[in-house]
Amino acid sequence: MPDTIERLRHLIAENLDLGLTVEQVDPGAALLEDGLKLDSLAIVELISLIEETFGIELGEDDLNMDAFRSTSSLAAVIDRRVRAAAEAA
Amino acid sequence: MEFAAVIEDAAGSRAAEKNFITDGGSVCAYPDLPGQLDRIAGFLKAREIDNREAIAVECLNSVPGVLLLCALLRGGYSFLLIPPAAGAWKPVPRFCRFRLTVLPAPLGDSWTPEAVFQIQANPDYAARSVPGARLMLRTSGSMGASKIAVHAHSGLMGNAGNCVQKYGFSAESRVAIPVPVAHMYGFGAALLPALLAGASIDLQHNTNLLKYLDREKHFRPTIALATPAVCGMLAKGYKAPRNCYRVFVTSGQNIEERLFRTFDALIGGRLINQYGSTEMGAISACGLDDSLEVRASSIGGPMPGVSLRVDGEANSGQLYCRHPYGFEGYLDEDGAWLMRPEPGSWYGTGDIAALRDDGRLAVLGRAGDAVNRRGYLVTLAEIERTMAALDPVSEVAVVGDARENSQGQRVSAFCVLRSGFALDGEQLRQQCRQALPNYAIPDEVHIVAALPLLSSGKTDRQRLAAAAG
Repeated sequence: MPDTIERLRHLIAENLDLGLTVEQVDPGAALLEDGLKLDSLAIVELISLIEETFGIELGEDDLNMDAFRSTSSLAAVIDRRVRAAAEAA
Repeated sequence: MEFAAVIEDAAGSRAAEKNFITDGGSVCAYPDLPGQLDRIAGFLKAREIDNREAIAVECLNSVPGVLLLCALLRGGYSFLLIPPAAGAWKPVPRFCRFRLTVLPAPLGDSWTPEAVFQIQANPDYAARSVPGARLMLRTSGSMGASKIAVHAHSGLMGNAGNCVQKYGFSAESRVAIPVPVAHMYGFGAALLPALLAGASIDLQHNTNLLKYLDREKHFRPTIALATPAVCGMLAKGYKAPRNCYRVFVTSGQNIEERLFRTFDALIGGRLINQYGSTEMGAISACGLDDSLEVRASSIGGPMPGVSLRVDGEANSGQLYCRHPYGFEGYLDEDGAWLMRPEPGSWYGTGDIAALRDDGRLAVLGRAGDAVNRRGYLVTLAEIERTMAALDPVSEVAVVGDARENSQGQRVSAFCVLRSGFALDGEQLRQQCRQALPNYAIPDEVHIVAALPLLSSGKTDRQRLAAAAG
């Protein structure tokens, strides 16, 4: 989990063209309107990046405001998907 | 039909008695509409805001925002609609006495207009009489050159009636509005038709994929009015097809054919493209009975009562429109008429269109965007659209050049390749031969890592034109 959060922070800071530093992408910082303000395009791009980087497919149930509240909430969703994929394999 | 009668009918209608307007937080049921509008009317009256002077309204997609718009329409006010500005205090035209801002506050049981609508006197106000019962919309974002298009409320109702007919709005409909109601498209082709039909309405402010999916799940829309950007977002985010939509409207000529087809398949073949403008409202659209071929490549035929004419050779040229519910003219920031066309006259849309053999229209691009190649008029947007459909191409921008060569005006293309493709500019140029007539093939094709962008996110064409020269 801590590792997922770190990878996610780097992904957001380095791969989304938002001019953010890893420090700014604090694990607790809100990702959307009240925080880092990921816009509509950035959200779609982040979903693709997560799916590529972690080798998973997010389901529509994962694509909600709660899951995308912060990097830590998003990391929890990713970990769940990664575990499910490993069990299925 | 007068707007007051529309509200009265919808509020008293059995078919609409369970229908409502929501923004995800606040809800207003149709039977409660007259009471809520009375309350807002009383609030305006108490502040001596009456319909004899124009006001500016900064409105977001929320239930209170829509109630305010309804109260202003019902009260015969003249108002300029402005999209929410992010904090900055942009001046409103001098002829507007007040600026009303809809605050992002919920509409609870004990809501008060005071808490939701902020009123500021316009410090630049200079009294000027403008006609009553008008909606005004700025046509350009740039302050100096902006013009204010004026619509009679009655014209807007006619325009909305056309959309009701074309898209099949009814009291059974559930209408998703993820586009701003402060623009002509959201206001005239989405909000007003939905109100006219007594349909349930789901307003989304600043939509994004997560918001849209969440609201879609709860609201189960049957009609959505969106943009190519929203279609693109959903095409990437949908993990399964949808069968709830009866019709899904996108607007503007810029939807790529590839995206159109992908998204259309995801929503069960219900996607149609509407063509319209701030001045004319909804001008033309395809119908649901049109084939995918037609829907993906044309704007269909005119709305009821609208005539279209293409001025040019070989059925392609500038598109003119005669619209029974079009605008009345442009005002300047002082409220003086800049231009006032004769009612029923032909209006130049500024777009280049082609009238096809099947009688449908295809919009090819802006008139200023057209270049002359061996005697043929070609728009850069048309070349761009065709090249964007080539397999290796991920993004493309095509720029013209005043210099001429044997083909006519020089044309250069800048392309970003999809991952997995490796070819040079000349190879890609050769591939254009499959898709474009000879005269339209760019003189040069450059492969680039990314297209230069302006701060607005649009392609920096001037930089590309300089690079081409």
